[in-house]
Amino acid sequence: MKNLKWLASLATIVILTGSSCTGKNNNQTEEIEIKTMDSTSKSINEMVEKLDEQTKNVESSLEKLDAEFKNNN
Amino acid sequence: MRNLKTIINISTMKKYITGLSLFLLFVTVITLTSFQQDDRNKNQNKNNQDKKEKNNQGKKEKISTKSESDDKMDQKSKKDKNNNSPMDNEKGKGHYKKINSKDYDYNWTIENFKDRNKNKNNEKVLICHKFNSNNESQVTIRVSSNAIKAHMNHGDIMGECPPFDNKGYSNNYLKNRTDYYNTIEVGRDQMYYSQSILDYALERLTGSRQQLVVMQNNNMPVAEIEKKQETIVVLEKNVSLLETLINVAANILVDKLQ
Repeated sequence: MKNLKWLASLATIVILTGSSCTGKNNNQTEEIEIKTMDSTSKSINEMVEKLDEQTKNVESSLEKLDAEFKNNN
Repeated sequence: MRNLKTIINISTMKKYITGLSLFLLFVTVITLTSFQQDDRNKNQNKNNQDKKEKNNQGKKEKISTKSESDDKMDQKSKKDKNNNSPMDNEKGKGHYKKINSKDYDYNWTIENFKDRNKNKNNEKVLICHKFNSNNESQVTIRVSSNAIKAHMNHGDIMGECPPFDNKGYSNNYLKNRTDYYNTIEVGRDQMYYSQSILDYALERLTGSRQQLVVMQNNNMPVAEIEKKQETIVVLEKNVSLLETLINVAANILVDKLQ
């Protein structure tokens, strides 16, 4: 009976340790993916800002071109 | 004496059974863990293979669209042979060919360009975007109405995602993934809008250069011609920079959502 109790408690410990290890792995994978997504999002946001700014520059140059060639269009 | 032997045998047997069951338990736990690890590795390998296949497909598509656009560019460059400028050389390089003009609905003219802020597509819709190699998980994201078709082709559904078991992902992870896709969508919208402005600017440049030649032939005052030429040069510089930026953006964004 004693042996059985000891065996049951050991089994529980082993199972709990095993499951917590796999849970840890999942969390680690998620954390790595979140970090990757964060850094990609940052570079996308920076790129969007630059694109927006340069697009506005082209738009204003186009407006000047329109004004310059107004009578000839 | 016999009783003693029996007792010793029983206790030895108990020890053996205990030891054996402990061993079996360990073996079971280790096997289960390795199976889980194998599954995860298999899934990861599958994901990597899928990504590779998609990349290869994307490359093939890019190559085919490249050759089509190369033909168009060749035709255009033949037309523009008389108007040599740095932009013609840039066009020949085709930095921005990765984006297909059919992907956006903008078609700028002198008239609607003036009201471009009104004509800019700001309409957003909610879609249920699926991710993972087998589209097993999903998040609700906001996309431009122009991008709906591409998402539908990828297996997404219109509207918010129904309640669904996201294969054990944490809420924090799903929130991050939603934000990530929304950021990509904003980037893609900006890229397509910039591309449409770039295309329009290239068209206008060609037209303006031709007009300038006509003006020169009509003996227009040199000062006026120089002034007009200056505006063309400024636009050329800005267009060239925009072209480079779009190329960078395309490298970051193309195939990100697929």
